[in-house]
Amino acid sequence: MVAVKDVSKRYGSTVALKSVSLQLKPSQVHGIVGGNGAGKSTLMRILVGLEGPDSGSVDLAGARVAMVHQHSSLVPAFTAEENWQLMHAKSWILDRSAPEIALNEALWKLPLNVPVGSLSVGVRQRLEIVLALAANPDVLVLDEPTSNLSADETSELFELIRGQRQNGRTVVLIAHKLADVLAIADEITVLRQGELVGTVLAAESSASELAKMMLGELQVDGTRPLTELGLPVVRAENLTVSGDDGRVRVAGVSFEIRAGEIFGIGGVDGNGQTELAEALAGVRPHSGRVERPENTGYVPADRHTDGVALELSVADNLTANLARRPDLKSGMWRKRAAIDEWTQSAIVKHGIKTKGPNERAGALSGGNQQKVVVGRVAGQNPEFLVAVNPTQGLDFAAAAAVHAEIRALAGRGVPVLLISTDDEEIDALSTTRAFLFNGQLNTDRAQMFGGNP
Amino acid sequence: MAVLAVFGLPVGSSLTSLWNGSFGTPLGWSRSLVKASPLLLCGLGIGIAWKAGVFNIGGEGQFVVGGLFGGIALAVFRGAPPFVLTVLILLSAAMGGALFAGIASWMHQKRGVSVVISTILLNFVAVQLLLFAVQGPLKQTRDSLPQSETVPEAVRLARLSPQSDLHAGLLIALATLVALIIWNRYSVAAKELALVGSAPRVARANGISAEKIQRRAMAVSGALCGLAAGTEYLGINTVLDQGFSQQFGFLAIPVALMGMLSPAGIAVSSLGFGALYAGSQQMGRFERGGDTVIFVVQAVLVIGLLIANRPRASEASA
Repeated sequence: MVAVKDVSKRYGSTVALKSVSLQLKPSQVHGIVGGNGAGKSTLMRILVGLEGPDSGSVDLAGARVAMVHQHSSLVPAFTAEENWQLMHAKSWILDRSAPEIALNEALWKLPLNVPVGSLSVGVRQRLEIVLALAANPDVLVLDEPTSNLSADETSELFELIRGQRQNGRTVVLIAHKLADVLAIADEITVLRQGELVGTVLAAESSASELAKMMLGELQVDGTRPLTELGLPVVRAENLTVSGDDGRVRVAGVSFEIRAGEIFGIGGVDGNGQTELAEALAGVRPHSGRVERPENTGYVPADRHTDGVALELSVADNLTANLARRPDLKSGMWRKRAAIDEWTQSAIVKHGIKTKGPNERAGALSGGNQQKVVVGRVAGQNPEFLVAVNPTQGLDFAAAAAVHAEIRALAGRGVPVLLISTDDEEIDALSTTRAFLFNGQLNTDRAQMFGGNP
Repeated sequence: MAVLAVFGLPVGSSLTSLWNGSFGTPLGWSRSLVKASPLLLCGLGIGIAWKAGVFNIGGEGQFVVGGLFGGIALAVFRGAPPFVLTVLILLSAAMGGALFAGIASWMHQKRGVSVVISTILLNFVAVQLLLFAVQGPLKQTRDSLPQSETVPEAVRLARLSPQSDLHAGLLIALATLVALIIWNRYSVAAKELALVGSAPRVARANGISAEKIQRRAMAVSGALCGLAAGTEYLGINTVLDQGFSQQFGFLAIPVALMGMLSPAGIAVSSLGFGALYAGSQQMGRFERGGDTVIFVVQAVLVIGLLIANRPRASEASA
């Protein structure tokens, strides 16, 4: 049995963990929940041995531990096979024999022979899980594996997790979606701001009880205002977009988005969603015609490469769209006082947990980085919003705030293109729903006012 | 000191001449400033390109082509009034550097050629262009020496004191420094430049054309290296010959790195490197090989700096 005892950890003046204990039993799925910055990832990094605790101890009792990180740890230029060989190299000579990834055959037909960097975030993540399992660990730690997966992919993942439990493995699952954790976990440990709130049996708990433990109070989701849709603002005609590998990912799609419309696109990741969003946001070349306002706000899918500049400060990241902020500049010059003032207020308004505006953005937790992206986009008062998985990595209070923000924008007549692998998110927000499959768009305007209250 | 000992040079007297040649005497000071001012201009140029993520190694080539354009301007606008001619030569030099840097930008953005490779190779091209010019079209007519016409007295940059080589090029460099400090502190473009250099994809996601900014940064970089050559041409060399370049374009890279790519930092490090340069020349008068040992010292400094900076890049984020 793996046991973590009274572990504490500080980063500078920030207390990440305060005397946290955890017991992991064989053949068990152990869920870990908590808000952004609650210490979930830190606890796991200590468990896996990536970091040492300041005090307390970790007793692995001989168990092998493998972890799939929230952010990709694969080498983008290498194929899956090469990444596997790199991970499992026993000496300085690389074992060139092809890895036997039986799981891949059984579950997901993943491409093993193309560079990992050309795959979508969701596919890359599944690949990492498969690669971690190939090492045959006793304990498998999954850090927010469901945040980029669609409902179908999530249930496939759960199928796989249950299979691992039957094989006697312990699976530790960090997740933000409480429903996911409740569906799969046997025991759930709740953390709040570095402290252990408690460990409960999943069968005897509920989403609202967990939420109360996480926050101390229950947040109520906002309701969608009924707005009249206006005239079409954004038009795409015969839009064709290719991926990084040159293959056509979006094939001749046409649609329009009206003022105040939230155009939600769901579907399994890797069917052209990222490419479509990038074309609409103006960052990927395309053929066909796209008509959109110049002032487009963009919340990208991959916040580490496209969302935040990790080496720059929080303040510089919040104002990376300075050219689109007439309130913060005058001609070619910055309004420094206004920038400082707005940055401070944005940090407070969006609840960004940081030591201050000058802290390096790379030092923030994933959820807080996402808040920086959202805060920046909100600040530019966009006339069109392209948002891909806008609440990835956010706890549900922060996610609800982002949803409220998107609804408010739409309420002011801003057209929104929302792409999400989270069906609940699409359901909760969209006025129009569509699905991308193999680069083809199926629009379902009939569901506009039916189905979702 | 260790370096001096390793090379078998007398440590005490070498250090004395190094000090006297740089900061120890008024003459040393002015010599240091004479070397520091082209280093400052080139360093600012290299710094701005690197800050934008364009690793311009071609300061030397842009410097040489800048000098070449200055020489061409002198030949073309010979009839102009002296002051006008001075300005035209300086502008041409800056333009020459910018155009030469533009070649590397074009190759990078249209053909995907690495800027590091192209700028290194273009350095050789620049030197050959200069050699061709001073042996052919720009060659003076007095005798058979392969060099250009001498810049007339009235067209040269004014001396700041009669005893030393200190000339108005220093004022040009300082004015450029002040302009860049202000630009850096107050302009929108300076933030965009840093964003492009740090995370080009994030810049693009915010509607900023990384390519455009990198092109401009490279042009400014080349222009400043070319301008440095213009001031050297009009202030010190007064002719173009095969010895025109004194490695300022190469030295500018450690100058910019030691200055942490910020204008104020580059000002300090250019003064330091200028003093090392001037001091080492003094040392070279008394000790055999003394003037080359200083390049070893500089190399050790730069490597030390790079090693000290390394861990930050691989720092894990939680």
